[in-house]
Amino acid sequence: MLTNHRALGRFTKAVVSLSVLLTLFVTPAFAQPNGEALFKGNCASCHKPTDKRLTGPGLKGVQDRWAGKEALLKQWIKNPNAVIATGDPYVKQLVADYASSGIMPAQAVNDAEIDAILSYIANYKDPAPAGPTPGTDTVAQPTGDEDNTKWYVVIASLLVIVVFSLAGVRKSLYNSLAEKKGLPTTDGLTYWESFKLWMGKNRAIVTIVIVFLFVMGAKDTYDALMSIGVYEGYKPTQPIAFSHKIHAGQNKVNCVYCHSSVEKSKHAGIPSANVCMNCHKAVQEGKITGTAEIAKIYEAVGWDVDKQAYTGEEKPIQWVKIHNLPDHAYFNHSQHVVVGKVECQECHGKIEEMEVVEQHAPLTMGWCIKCHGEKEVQMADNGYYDEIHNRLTKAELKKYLNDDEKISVKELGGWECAKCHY
Amino acid sequence: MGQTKYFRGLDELHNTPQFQEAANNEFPKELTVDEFLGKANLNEASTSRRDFLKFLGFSVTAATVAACETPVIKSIPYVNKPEEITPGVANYYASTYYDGQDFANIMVKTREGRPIYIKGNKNFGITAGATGPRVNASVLGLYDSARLQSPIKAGKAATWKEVDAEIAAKLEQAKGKGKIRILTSTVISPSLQTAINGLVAKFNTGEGTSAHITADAYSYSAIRKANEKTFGVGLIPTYNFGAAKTIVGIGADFMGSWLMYNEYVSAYAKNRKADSDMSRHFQYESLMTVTGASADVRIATKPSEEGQVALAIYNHLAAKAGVSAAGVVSNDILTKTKKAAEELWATKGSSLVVAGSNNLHVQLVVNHINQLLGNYGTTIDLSKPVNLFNGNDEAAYKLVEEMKAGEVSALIVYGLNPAYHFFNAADFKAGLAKVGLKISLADFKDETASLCDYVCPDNHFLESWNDFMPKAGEYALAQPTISRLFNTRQAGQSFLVWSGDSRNYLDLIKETAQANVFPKVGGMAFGDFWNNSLHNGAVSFADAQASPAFVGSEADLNLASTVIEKSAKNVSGTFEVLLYNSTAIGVGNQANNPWLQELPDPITKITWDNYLTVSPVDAQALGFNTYIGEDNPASVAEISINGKTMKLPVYVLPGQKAGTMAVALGYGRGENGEEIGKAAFQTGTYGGYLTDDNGKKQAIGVNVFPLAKLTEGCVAYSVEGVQVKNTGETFALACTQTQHTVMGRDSIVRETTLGTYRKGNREDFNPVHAIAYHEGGESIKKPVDEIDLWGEHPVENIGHRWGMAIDLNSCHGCGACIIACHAENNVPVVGKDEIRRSRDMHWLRLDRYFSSAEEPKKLNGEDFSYDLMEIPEENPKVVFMPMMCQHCNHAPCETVCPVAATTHSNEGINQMTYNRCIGTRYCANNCPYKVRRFNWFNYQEYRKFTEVNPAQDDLGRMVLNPDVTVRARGVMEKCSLCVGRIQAGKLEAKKKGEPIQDGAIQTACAEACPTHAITFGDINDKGSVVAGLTKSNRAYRVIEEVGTQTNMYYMVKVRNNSEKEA
Repeated sequence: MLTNHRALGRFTKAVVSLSVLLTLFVTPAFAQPNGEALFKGNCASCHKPTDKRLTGPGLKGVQDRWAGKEALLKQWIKNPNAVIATGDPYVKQLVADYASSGIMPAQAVNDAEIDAILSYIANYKDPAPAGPTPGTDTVAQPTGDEDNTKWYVVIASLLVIVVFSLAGVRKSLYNSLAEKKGLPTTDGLTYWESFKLWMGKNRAIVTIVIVFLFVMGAKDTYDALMSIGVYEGYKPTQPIAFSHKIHAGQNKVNCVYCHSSVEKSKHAGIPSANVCMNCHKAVQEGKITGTAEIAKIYEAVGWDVDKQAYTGEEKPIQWVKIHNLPDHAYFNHSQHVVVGKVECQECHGKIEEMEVVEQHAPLTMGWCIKCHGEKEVQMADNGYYDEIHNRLTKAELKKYLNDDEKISVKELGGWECAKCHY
Repeated sequence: MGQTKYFRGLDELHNTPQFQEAANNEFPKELTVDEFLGKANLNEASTSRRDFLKFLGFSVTAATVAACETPVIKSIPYVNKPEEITPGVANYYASTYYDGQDFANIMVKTREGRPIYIKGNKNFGITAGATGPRVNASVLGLYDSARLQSPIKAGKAATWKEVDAEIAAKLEQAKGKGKIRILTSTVISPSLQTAINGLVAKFNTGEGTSAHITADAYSYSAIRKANEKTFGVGLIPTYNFGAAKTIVGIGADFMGSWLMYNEYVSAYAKNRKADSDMSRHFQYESLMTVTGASADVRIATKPSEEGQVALAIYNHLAAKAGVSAAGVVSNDILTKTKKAAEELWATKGSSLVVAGSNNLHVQLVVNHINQLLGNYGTTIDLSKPVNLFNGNDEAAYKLVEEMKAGEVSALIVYGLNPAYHFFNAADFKAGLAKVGLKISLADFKDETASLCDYVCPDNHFLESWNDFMPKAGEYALAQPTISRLFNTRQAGQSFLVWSGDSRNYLDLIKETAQANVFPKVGGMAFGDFWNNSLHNGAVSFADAQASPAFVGSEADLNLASTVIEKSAKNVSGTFEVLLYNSTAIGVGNQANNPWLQELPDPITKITWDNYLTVSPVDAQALGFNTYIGEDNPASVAEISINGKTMKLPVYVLPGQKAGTMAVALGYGRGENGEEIGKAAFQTGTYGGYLTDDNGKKQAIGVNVFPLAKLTEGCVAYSVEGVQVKNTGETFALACTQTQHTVMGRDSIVRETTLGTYRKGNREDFNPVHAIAYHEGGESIKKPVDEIDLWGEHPVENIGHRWGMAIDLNSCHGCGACIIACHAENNVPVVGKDEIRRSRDMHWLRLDRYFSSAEEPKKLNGEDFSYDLMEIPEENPKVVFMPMMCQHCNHAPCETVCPVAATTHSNEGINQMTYNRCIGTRYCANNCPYKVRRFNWFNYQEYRKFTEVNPAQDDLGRMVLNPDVTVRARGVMEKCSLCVGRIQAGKLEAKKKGEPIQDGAIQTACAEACPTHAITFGDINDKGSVVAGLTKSNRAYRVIEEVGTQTNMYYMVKVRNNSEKEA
């Protein structure tokens, strides 16, 4: 269903881009004011071209509402306070209705530009269809990983049938040949008996196969045991289908904008819902999920979209924690990000491409100390390390630098137990 | 030869029929397996053995599979994150602790809005960062699930609206019917006083119809009375122990409990440094206290002799000053006080004499002494009077009488538990029954609250706003560090509501500050002043009161000497019993705090009980058990006076004055099963409470407040004429240190005299350890450092080397460090039974050693007896020694661990890795310091600890430090040198790109030490304080001869005695 939406979204996007292209070509050189650009530049932060309310009213049908007072409308846009002073009843009501938003600031546009904006609004067609109907499953499922097991089973059974038919054919061919040559035929023997016969004749192969199977089995058992508690690829469904791909990838929102404590604390921090509202107060619809997912933020922070006001009813969002370390392991994000200058992606994978976040690294101790063993300590321009260097004699320093001329985390004690366990 | 016959037995030799049968039937079929399994009784069981194994296999597999299932862990961020909170980073708020007895300026550490740790505020306020164990432990009280969760009306939960309306109406009714009384502990909050005054004024219909009465749980009213006589003002002055060159304490435990001991102790310790001017301290006392243990000269004196001691000192001084003597004192006491008096006179003007007795006459003589010495204005500051301990014992007594007479129509009790704290609690209870309207503002349903009609629970102090004026010119603020956990309301607010004042209590605090404090500070706008004060927690300003002139009269002094002479007659065959405040429990306000109950007493090392301390001489005479151990329970004594009889276990205390005994107050809380907290009652070996025959929970210890009595207008805490007999019964006491002496070993604690130390010859007081060594066929002595079985350990000069220097001179044994360690490192509480089995879990213990008369013989190479060496001398010297993991560079524990769970870091820390430990306990066996602790149980789950361990309570668990692992059963644990703090401190420095500043990282114990006895730091940092101390002449390592090369250094204890006095 969602895929359909997305396809539809892409289609619309294509149509829109095409029309934009066409417009560009068609636009004459003595450019008329571009209504869309003007709208986006001047109005979009507070108004929507639809009938939806943002900080200010939705502008769909604005000309009808001001019918007969076109001059006043233009003046209202250019100098609202002057219009309020006229005491026009409609304006009075408008100001009262949007008292919480304050009065619109005067816009530096001329009449021609206002006309262009108004015509853009008048001709505006909502590109996105209404959001998915409420109640349906709106959690984004990554595309392309449909369950293929069914097909594997069908193909496997077909192959088995083919194998047996071929074996039957081979057997009858062999028997007819043997009959001709006067050799003993295998008639009367079951498949199993002939298999046993074959095993008796080919002991070396059988031994190799048994040893191979045993080794494989042992390896699988070992792997299975070692993977207990390792949740690489853990990709739980989250209460809100938040897409890192859209936010961090397409919109290039810096990781630290939301995970703001990553440089200060052991926790990178899941942003509180008020951080979401910094953008989503204005961005009320997503291209893919429409209003459904964003509405969940509003529900959490208690934001009434119609009244553009907080209701005071808050419901914390219960995200599912993906990266879980055992209690006896201490990990500090700020140590790695600020001091170690490790990029987020080194441990979290290409998060900016993930529709749904999954655990990229195994988060095992082996994984931790592997990095600690290889990674060079970022000592440049850090007074802390300068002091440590100053305390060392030259001989000692040489011992640390030994062959590779660099100091790894391990060489500074990064493999010691109490660095992470206390 | 072939004739020889070998046989296996006579049966075979004679070839009996039985033998033949047995030979034919080698495998007798007397009982076949089928027959065995076919037995009827086995069939009764519904599961056969085989089925059982199947079930076992299945359930183990099922459990394993189920355990592999990942639990879904939710991560729930704030909806609106408060700006100042960063998850994972602690915030500190300045606040103030005051519970009617103890006052401290504190810093509260919060994590994600939860207070988890309290330390002293080093920069602001009168206590200068010093906190006692009770203050540190008070954070646990916030999370006590037995706290009242809503107002209570007639025993049932009610709403504030309902309760307020009814109280208002009933107070209005009570107005005409009789007296309205508000009984509180000393109020040092100006705003609370305003609120109470408002209530008093509202219901005042004539002289004395409504009144505010102040009483202290432990009274110091005699000091105020004496000052009233000698200075015309009933004040308690500021004592400056830091400025005194000679200090004489007469029964005043000013380092452990007396007045504002928090403040005194840090000042005292500053003046007790061996390398600068060291004060000289004489202590006269009956019970061995931490103050007596720190004194240079301790003279065991009966409480009844304290007046005479004061008088004797006065007379010695009077002779020198050429004024007339007062009264006659026995020669014995004159001799005992001669030296002290001489030294006081020599340091005239910078000496200090204090007395603990709550007796007007004793205090009066002491005032005259200090006047003679010219100490007023130098070591005693009358211009900075203390506002604490303003209780009036007589008024409280009168109130009880009024109540009994039925004259009181309404009683409101706040900050005090008179049904427990009053010596006449029985009378109080009888009187309370006659009071029409009884309201308590207690936060627990304590002894008093459970008898009241309404309980209007106060917030915990960590949830409250408050202001305090502990002294003139000292202002302190308390701010909430967490939102209210329950439906409670601040007492000040309640008083405002009932007096019809619509103000908010916080606004009242601000108004009070603006009107009374701000004008005296000035220099900024009020808003800035308020924010500054709140940030700092305290403000000092000039508010000097004119020092009153000395108006003491000779007549008063003579009267005092007459009274003292009379009281000196003691009834023979009876004992004097001193009632004292113990370090951990005090007056019992936090009797439900398991950290404090488990904190060993500094001297006796007993936990979870109070007991009668008896001198060894008396114990022998009365036949008491002198040795307490796991298999040696204490004898039980019965003490009786004035028809009151109590049974108490006996602890034989070296240094206790013969003929005297002592018992700690503050125990026996919840005697009638009042809901005062989970940990406040005795628990059984397998958990659950011990109950009496009626099913009532048994209180911990015995309440001895009823033994006190009102003498000349003050409550006297020493009782004379007590009959003591041995009941022959026994009672198990839990003691963490049963041995008394170091048995003449010279490498554990080292003590010297200032005389010896000043001569500067290290060999005299801190000899370097040398051990016999064979070289070239000859036996020579070599210093320990030069002999090594181990390879060189690269710790010195490489990176950091964390270590400590612990000054035995400054440690006075209070135990604040133990509580701080508890809170910081999630150390489990194990309860009395486990302590008795020596399974205490404290990472840090305070060893207390008494001196023995036999020890010098061993050290001097004379004939000696080990048996005698176990016995402390009659008036022993006492040394306290904080003992925790010594972080040996050549650690014996590390070599014996089969799984390398304990290893050494290149920063000198002996690391313990819990997740690797398999619990062989080899390490603990091999540790020469016995500092490793084994987790015998899952303390946070096992039912034995449900009552005592706060981690078994959803609320109590909130106090846990999220940065330190809660250890599971079966692993070893020990002091980690607060490695979490070290890591955090290093990270902070690395992030800033600066070297670590000395002192920026503190372990919990070092931070909590009120006397700065523990100095922590990087020994490799040449400029650090700790590096300097380790190179001092006084520095040594404990049991250095075993070659452990520890990173913990101790500093030889120096007493200010001449060489001869040692």
